Amino acid sequence: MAKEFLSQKGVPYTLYDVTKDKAALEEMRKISGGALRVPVIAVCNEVMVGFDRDRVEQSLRCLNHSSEV
Amino acid sequence: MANVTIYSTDGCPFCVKAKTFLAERGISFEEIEAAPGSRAWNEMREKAGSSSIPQILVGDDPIGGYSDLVSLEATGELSQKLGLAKPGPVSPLYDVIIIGGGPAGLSAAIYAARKVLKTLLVSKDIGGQVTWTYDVDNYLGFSQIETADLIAKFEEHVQKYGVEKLVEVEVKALELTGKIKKVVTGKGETYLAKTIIIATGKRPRPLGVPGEKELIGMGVTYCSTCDAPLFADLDVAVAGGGNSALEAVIDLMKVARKVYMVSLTPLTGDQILQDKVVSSPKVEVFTEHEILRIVGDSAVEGLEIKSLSTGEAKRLSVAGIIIEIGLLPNSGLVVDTVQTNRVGEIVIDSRCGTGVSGVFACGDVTDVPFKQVIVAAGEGAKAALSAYDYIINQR
Repeated sequence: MAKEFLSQKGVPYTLYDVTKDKAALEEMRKISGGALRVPVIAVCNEVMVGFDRDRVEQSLRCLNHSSEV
Repeated sequence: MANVTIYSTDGCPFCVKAKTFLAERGISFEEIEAAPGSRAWNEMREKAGSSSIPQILVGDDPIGGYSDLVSLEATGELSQKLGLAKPGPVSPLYDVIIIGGGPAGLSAAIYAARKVLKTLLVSKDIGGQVTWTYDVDNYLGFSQIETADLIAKFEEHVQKYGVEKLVEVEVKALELTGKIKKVVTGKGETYLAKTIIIATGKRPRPLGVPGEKELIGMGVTYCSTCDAPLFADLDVAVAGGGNSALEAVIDLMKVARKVYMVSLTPLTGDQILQDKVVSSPKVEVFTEHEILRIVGDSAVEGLEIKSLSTGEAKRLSVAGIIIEIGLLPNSGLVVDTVQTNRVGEIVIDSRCGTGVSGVFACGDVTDVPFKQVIVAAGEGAKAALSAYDYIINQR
């Protein structure tokens, strides 16, 4: 659902399969303060545990700003 | 605005509903107590032509009882009678609104659309409980299929019939007793239908201990299939003693460093699974132990457990806990309206009827025996065909 949403928005993203990539799993636990749930979505400096469409949409605003600067 | 009169008695539930309905819409009304046999009751019978209570009149025009009130609002006639401006665009009247997007709801959608019923499916997700497993065995046509593929096929099949869907939408309230049923979503939007199919499935039963709610996603989970791989190289616990709990332990044995199994009872699952678990050097089993709390500030750090026999308390240091202590039916929205059994499942007849006219239920939320994907799909089809029969017979 999250992947579909980002594709629809035309937002490029990097996908880490944490069930196969141990380093990514470590990184995910670290940046999320110990989350043991997927998806964990990081946008700019924000880390979101779980997929909340409205929250992700809001967080994407930082991308527009940085591309303007 | 025309005068509205309502004849009512104390303790009549539809009188309360009718009055609430009017009050919520800012329609003022005069209430006349009409106990059967009283003078007011005779007057009501004369004016309204009916002796059932409540009776509602707009001016001198009798409009009937509560369900008629709801129907008139749905068609926009109520505003007309009251002399109010027509309300803005209202929801179209669906033949059927299906609540739930698991196998039961999706199958109902196909059969409803096939009967050319105007259909709306409202659901938090597509797939429901099935998505909690990796693969499905012995769904007819597939000896084994990955869950994601099966759900994609279901969805594609529903799409073929062009069923209208509201996904990621939660239903907040239902009004089922009138002729026109109402579905109110979490966003406050209202949808109207002639029939409702409830296919809301089940959800995991929580432990109900301190720390549990607060740490969901931060080590607390109810889905071992979804989350077990995330527990790689950690010490973890599983709560429960049945087959699901044993399967969770077996999933975790492959990835975790140490697995504690904590069960309130002796283990109850299949012997073959018990043997696998008990013989693993990674696993430590605590039977007849109660979980008192889940400890941790922002993420799970441990569990406090207590032996039921000796009363001895212990702390287990774990980074996560998978809770597998059974399921609860998602019947909370209708528990006041339809009959439910001891465990909260909606009681249905052989045609998926709930006893409330125009309201059907199917799948795991009902008391149908054997909670299987194929059973749920079959029940969904039955519910849709019953809804069709109901609509045809109403004409």
